[in-house]
Amino acid sequence: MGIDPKFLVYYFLIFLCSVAGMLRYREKRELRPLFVLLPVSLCTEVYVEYLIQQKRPYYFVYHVYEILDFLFFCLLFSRNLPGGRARLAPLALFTIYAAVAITLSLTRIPVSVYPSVQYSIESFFLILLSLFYLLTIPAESGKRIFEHNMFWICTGLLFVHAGILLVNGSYNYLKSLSSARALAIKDWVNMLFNYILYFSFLTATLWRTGSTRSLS
Amino acid sequence: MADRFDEVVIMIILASLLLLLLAVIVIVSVIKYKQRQRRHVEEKNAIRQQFNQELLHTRIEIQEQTLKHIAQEIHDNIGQTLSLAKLHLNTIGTREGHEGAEKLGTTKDLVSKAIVDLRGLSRTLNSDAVLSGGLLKAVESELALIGRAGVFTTSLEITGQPVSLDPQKELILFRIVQEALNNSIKHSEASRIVVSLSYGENSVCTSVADNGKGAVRAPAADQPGGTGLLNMKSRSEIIGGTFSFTSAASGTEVRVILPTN
Repeated sequence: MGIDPKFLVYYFLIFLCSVAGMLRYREKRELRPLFVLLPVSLCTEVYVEYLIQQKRPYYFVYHVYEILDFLFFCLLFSRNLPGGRARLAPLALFTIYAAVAITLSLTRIPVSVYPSVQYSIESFFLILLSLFYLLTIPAESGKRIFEHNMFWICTGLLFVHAGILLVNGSYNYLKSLSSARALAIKDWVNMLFNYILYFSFLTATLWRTGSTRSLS
Repeated sequence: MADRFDEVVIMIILASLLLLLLAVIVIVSVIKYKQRQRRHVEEKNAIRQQFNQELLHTRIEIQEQTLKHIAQEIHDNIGQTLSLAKLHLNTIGTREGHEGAEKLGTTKDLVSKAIVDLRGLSRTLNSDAVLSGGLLKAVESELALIGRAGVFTTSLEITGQPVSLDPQKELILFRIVQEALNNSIKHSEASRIVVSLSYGENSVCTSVADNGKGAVRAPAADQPGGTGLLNMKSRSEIIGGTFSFTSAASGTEVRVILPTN
């Protein structure tokens, strides 16, 4: 069974972001959690693709990955949000999320099923964090908003997760119209939003900011 | 079929609205960022301005302390020495004849004049004397001191009902007048200097004008007189006054308008 070209483009984008992240790892310290997450995502996707090719169950991988994914995003926000208390908020959100996600995986949504509920909760939390960051980006004189790495990341996360939530929310309705078409639409829309997300990551990683804040 | 088509249209509209909402959020965040950035710049400027003001205050305080010390030294040491010299001169007889007596008389006069001038100088340098006597008295005394040299004709013009200002403000205003008078003496080649104090309802306008050669333009900070002008401007800003400098071929005028309420 061959790999779908749209997935190949998707993997290539993650690979490109991972390489860019490695190149900028020393320079952009505030984005380090993202730079660690990107290769983890790539490995996960490659492993899932391998399991698909082997015709073996693979949804269990996402049950673990979604928690890791949210953990790294929370660390990213925690590093970049202004103020001591605000930095604790993502970590508190992660604790709540991890507890809910693990409970759901162990009780209501078995690992043989795709963890769509967990992903929807993650999307909701990421939208909240992105909105909060976008509205409180710390102002620096002489630095335009586009020069803030997190502006691109938050904009990407906001669009992608809002879009994914909309598609997932309407998936059952679309399925009632046509099951095959619903799946195709969901796949395409998810993929398209993922392209947008990784383009925004690439922009944030490669954008030269002039003066990078040291946060460690 | 038509119903399903309608529902798909509704979904597309919903999706478009969502995208529009997200775009609005991003635009709002950009606008809010710009507002915060403007506020940040304003705050930075305010802090810098406050720092400069405090720096100026400190400089003025140090200057006042130095002047006070010099004034005390003049009064206590040089003044005393001259007084003693005059006392000794008084005890010298006139055995040298008429010429000797005349020379002795002249020397006594010169020493007396030096004592009076030094006392005047000591008074104008000492901030306590300025603070206790008030601005008008201090200016009068300063003009008298200049007038005694015989090079300049000086006058003080007062209009309106004089009001007492905050002593610190009066002191700073007096230092501005002193600086302007010094500039006239040093650079103007004038024959007449007029200080006017005009008391209005809400402000007092102080001006020092001379009939000298004038300056083509206000000198830069690194040119002679430039630092003096900057000092006067900074001092007026400290007390909340408006400083202006005008110069023409017919003379120069320094003006400070200070709100009184």
